[in-house]
Amino acid sequence: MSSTNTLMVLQKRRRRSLLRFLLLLALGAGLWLTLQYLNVRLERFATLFDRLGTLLATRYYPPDFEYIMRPRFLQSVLETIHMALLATLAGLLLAIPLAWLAAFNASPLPGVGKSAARVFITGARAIHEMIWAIVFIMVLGFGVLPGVLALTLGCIGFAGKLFVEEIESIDDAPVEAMRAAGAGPLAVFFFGVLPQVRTAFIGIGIYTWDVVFRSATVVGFFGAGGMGWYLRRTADQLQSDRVAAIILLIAALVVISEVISHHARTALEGRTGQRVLAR
Amino acid sequence: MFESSDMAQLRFVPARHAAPAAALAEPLLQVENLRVRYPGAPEDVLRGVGFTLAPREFVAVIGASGSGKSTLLRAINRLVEPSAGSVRLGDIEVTALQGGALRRCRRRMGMIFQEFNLIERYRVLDNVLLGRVGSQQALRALFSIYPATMIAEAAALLDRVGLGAFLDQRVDALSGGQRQRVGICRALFQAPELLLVDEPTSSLDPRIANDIMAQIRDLAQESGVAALCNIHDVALARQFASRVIALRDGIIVHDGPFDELDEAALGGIYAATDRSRL
Repeated sequence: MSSTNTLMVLQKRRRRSLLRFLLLLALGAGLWLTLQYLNVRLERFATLFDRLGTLLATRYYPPDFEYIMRPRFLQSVLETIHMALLATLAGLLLAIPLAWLAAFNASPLPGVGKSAARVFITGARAIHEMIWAIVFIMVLGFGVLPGVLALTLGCIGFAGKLFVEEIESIDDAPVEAMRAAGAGPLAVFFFGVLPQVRTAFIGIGIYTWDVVFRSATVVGFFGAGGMGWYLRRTADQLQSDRVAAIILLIAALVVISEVISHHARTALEGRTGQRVLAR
Repeated sequence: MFESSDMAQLRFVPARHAAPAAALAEPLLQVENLRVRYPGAPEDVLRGVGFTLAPREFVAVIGASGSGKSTLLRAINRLVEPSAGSVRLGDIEVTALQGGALRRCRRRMGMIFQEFNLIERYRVLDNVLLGRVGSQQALRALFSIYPATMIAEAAALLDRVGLGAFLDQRVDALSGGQRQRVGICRALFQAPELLLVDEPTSSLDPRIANDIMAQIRDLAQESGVAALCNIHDVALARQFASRVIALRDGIIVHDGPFDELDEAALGGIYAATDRSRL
């Protein structure tokens, strides 16, 4: 019996090794086929940086910083920040209950409710914010609202998926204790699930803000509010010095946002870490 | 009316350990022909288990790992779904309940867990208050809005087990023994009629294990609560329980006082477990 088992295990290991080798081979072949299909000429990379440098030096330098200091443009920057803030808050508040419904180990509606929540989160993630923005502009017209809605859906898709994964990896013990005490589904979520994922949820929330803010700077490209509209107008009018100033401002804002997020995350992790050490 | 299988189980309880006649006439818990099979498992974990438990009775359940002890407790409060059989708590058929009715019934059964199952991030007092989370509005509990009398009651219970000085301490800063005491208080704070105790001392050293068992027994007696207690340690079962139910491979092989179990019988209970069930 034992030798038969050993033989089976050896055969399984051989099959797994062969499978790994075949997978690696398929990956290499796929990469080569893609390069052939797209007709990518690798030698063109050699001149990329030279041409980019020339273009930046002749057309994008010096950036027109005066343009981005105009009150109407600054107003669009504030609008962008508010759009990102609103979409992040709304998206996170909607993503949490959706993730709870969608998680296989904690869903209060394990049948249709779980499937519907999963489809919603996957659907929101499957379509890019820019596409959502175009869809909402077609329905609602130009303005901030389609932008906020598009960003909110993007936020639900992004944060919802991560929230589901966090909930699905919790320890079942506190959930079991709450169920044993006769707690209802809401109480089980609040006291069995939420305390275990709270720190992770805050971290994901901060990261989601980063992602949403980056998207908020460009949804206006299609007329969905914010500074993106100015980027498109100046690009269409070939005002490269203004485009350069706007891109630099976006980069600076994203960096500032990420620095603040990083400090918030570090503070959070530091606090959690100290508690772990204090045990 | 009892079916013949119930009577067969009842005859194992000798007169000197039996509960009062009135209690026997109306057992607190009646388990009949209980079967549990986990999804995808080739065979039942519990194979027709049946017994009764009188009010205030303290019964130990012993058996090797994989014999079905934890499954039995979880099938009684329906954390695990029985595949056949009946569980009655008082006059309520637990196996027939759904939704809110099942939750209300669970509030009558406190559970103490092997790994404590506490909310690690919460403070000691809040964990105990969660014993009554089922009867509180979830939003009120979320914002820690409890009546002052309830808080005083929880504090008194914690004081009783020697944790009066730790009310505001986070649970993850406590030792194993202290955590289990919090778990005991949480279960008793439910004001249950029945305590389901699942190997409460497995994670603790022998001296603390003894203290914990003594506290469970004493508090159950003081509160007039019946207890069904899984114990892996035979010596502890002998010391604390008036009656022992022994499980082997999902079947009750003994139900009666510990004195009736000799070394050979104990050897049979612990040695003959089907290894594929472990």
